[in-house]
Amino acid sequence: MPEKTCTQIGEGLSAFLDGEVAEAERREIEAHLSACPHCRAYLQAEGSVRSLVRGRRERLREPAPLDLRRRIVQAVQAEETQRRWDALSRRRTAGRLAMAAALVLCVLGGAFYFRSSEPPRSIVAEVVDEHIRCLMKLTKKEEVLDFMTADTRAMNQWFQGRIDINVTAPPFQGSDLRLAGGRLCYLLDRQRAQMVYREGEHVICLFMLDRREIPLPQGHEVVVSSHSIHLTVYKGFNVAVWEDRGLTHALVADVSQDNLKALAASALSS
Amino acid sequence: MYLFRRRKDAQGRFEALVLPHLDALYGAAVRMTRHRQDAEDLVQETCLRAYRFLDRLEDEGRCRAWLFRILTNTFINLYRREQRAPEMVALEESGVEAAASGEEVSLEAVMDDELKAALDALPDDYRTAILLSDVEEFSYEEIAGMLGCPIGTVRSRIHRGRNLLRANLIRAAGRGGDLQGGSYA
Repeated sequence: MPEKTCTQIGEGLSAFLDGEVAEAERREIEAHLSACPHCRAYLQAEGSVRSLVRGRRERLREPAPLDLRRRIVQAVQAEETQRRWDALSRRRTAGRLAMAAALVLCVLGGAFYFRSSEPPRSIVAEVVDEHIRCLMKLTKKEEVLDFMTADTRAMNQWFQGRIDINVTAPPFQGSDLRLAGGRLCYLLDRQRAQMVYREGEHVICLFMLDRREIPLPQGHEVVVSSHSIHLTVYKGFNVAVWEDRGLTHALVADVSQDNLKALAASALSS
Repeated sequence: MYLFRRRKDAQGRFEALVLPHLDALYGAAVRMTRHRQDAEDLVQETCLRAYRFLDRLEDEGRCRAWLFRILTNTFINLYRREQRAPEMVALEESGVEAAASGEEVSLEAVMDDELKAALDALPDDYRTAILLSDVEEFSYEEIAGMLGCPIGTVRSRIHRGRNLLRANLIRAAGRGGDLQGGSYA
């Protein structure tokens, strides 16, 4: 094979610098370079501009504008809605059926579209509804609890391994409230810990949830031992919500707000 | 409801796979189009295409290369046809000579804006090849796949692009840095 000219060697130098030449070509270029100062200078020149660009890599980039992501997500959603419309339109066989299909599509598409921007369901509504379901079962003398105990330590142990949060059932010292037991309930898309306390005819439920992704409710806010307690009323039940040791606590009872506040304070001090 | 479940997954998959590359795509798009509004449009169009063809992405580990392929194709097909300014090909002849002469110029002193302006002054083909190689660190084979050309073409574009870039930088340094750039609309 005849030796390559400087021009031919020069054309391979970028690939040589980038490690993109085959073994034979690499040896050929190295041999030529060792004998040719002109090509060595050329290699250095090309190498310096290559390292300049590579060294400034980060400064040649720039982050996307904040609202670009939002616009892209919206565009994808719009395309999705359009695609569903088209998919369903293709399936229609008669005018009447098409109307029905379009209607269903609108409802479903709309529901899907708005679901993604829907605010998280309120923890207050969820725990009160669960509380009401428990009360209904109790009045029908149905079993509510998964585990019956008056011992808070036994209660804590029962939850261990059943749920991935560290449950500590407060003793509510200084009140006549007595632990009846606990259960796993399903709310806000997950299994949650629920403890049931009783005082005479009163039933009080305490829910514990991982605090992440659960916004605290609006409502009257009081500060007790440096924790803020949110007090609200929903469907006639008083609800106290507070955060402690990484958990959101929600206490539901048919007692007065003052009593509820005192119970929350007692739980916080235990 | 199969239809709905499948599409919902596609949307989730899109957000998990494509959106993490948004900054990288935008950064490259600004350098390619030399115009921020065009870059935003280019990235949005790229993402929509990626969403449409997400089913075809078999190896999720190669998502970045796949996205850059779409970006590059979209740029070539959509933006080069309606280019704003003629390219400065006239630089080429004298430029290569200047670079080859081995003239001693310290490139480290080049300002970021000067470098951006010198890159912007390259013809699209050369600029894109250099961006994909030196900034985005793709292999020649990957770049050839993105540009739909043989590896030999990638080699020569990178080679000529670097020479031209060096010539632009030397020229700018000689004129006291009158190549202004990097701050477009």
